[in-house]
Amino acid sequence: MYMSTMWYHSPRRGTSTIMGVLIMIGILFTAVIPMFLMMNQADVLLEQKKLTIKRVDDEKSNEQAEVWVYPTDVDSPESVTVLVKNTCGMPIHLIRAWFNETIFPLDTMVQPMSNVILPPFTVKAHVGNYYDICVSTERGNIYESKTGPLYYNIDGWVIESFGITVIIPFREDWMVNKHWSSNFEVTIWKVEGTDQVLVYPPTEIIRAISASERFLPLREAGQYRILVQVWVNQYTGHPAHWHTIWDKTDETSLISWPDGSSLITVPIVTPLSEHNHSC
Amino acid sequence: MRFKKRRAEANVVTTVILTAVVLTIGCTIWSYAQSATTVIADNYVKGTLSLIDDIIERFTIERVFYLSSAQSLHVYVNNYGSVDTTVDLLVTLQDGSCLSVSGTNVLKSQVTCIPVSMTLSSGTAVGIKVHSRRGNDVYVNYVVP
Repeated sequence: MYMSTMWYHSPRRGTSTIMGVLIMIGILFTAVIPMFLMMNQADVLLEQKKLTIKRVDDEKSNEQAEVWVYPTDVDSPESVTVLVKNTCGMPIHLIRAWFNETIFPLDTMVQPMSNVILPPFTVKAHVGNYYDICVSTERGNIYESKTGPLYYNIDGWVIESFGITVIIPFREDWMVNKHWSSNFEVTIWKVEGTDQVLVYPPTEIIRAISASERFLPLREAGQYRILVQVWVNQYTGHPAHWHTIWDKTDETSLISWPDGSSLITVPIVTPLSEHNHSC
Repeated sequence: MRFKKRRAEANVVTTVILTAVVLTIGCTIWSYAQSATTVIADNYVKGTLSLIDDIIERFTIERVFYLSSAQSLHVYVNNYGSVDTTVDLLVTLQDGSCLSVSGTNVLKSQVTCIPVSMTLSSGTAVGIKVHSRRGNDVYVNYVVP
């Protein structure tokens, strides 16, 4: 009896069940799954943005540049020159230059490991004023001038002095044996391409008992030829003469200011071979 | 025979009623589920997008100047991120007193000056805090030259 009742009712009861299941499947596919897909898409977007901003932050922290600011003309208050040196492996987009509180918009790309000299900025400096100059980049970094704030006084721009320091060593026995006197001479030329312009005619340095030092101020940066000679007294078979102990025009004789040294130091340290060879 | 026919009709009516009830309840649940999931998904997406804005917001205090002639401290805020922001500025003096400027909009990729009227003597140090409405902070110390 029970079996026959079940057999009798089951086909009709199934209609509602099937419809209920279909509705549930419909809800699943039209509401729940799209919701999860949308949420998942938002999560993916969040992760993408996290990665992007991490890369942006890394790029910002890895960005490195040096800014050198110097007067275009030491005597002229009209303009200054800004040199930007990109010292990192990424291009740097310069967007602003600051001269105190004045903003100069820029749109300059500096390629990796290269330099850019920005167009001269007209500042019309006033006597007694400081000019704090820096450059901003698109990544949010700001680079201040390595030369510090520029100061303009009644004599013009105040900048570092250029010069060559020659250090003469103290007297040693072998020098006495070679009849070196205490008289040294320094001659300096400015090298301009293939030309050499005499800056200091032979200038005498008298060595004291200990080492001597002489500072020879210069007018401008550039490459110099420095010739240092010593007077050798007459001795058996050798007449008195000037003996050259330094004559160089390589990178050691370059004043590359502002992005380098403003001073050339010439330490006359004679090599050991000098001790033996004849003057 | 007659009894059987009536019984069959009743079953059909019952089935129809049951189906109608199932359809009605099903459609109601379907509609409710769709609304609920839409609202949940929208809220979730909005929350995520808001969180993204919080994360990608980037700004910095680019320059600070004190103009003694105008007795005003100028704080330049650079928004180098990709979303606009609204910031509050808080300047703390050495004696602990504070001055603030609220609700300055800083558009993306722009630098904005926030002036604060105050009298400072040379050598005075101030702490400057810029707080965005999204909860990010930037600090800088400034000594009046």
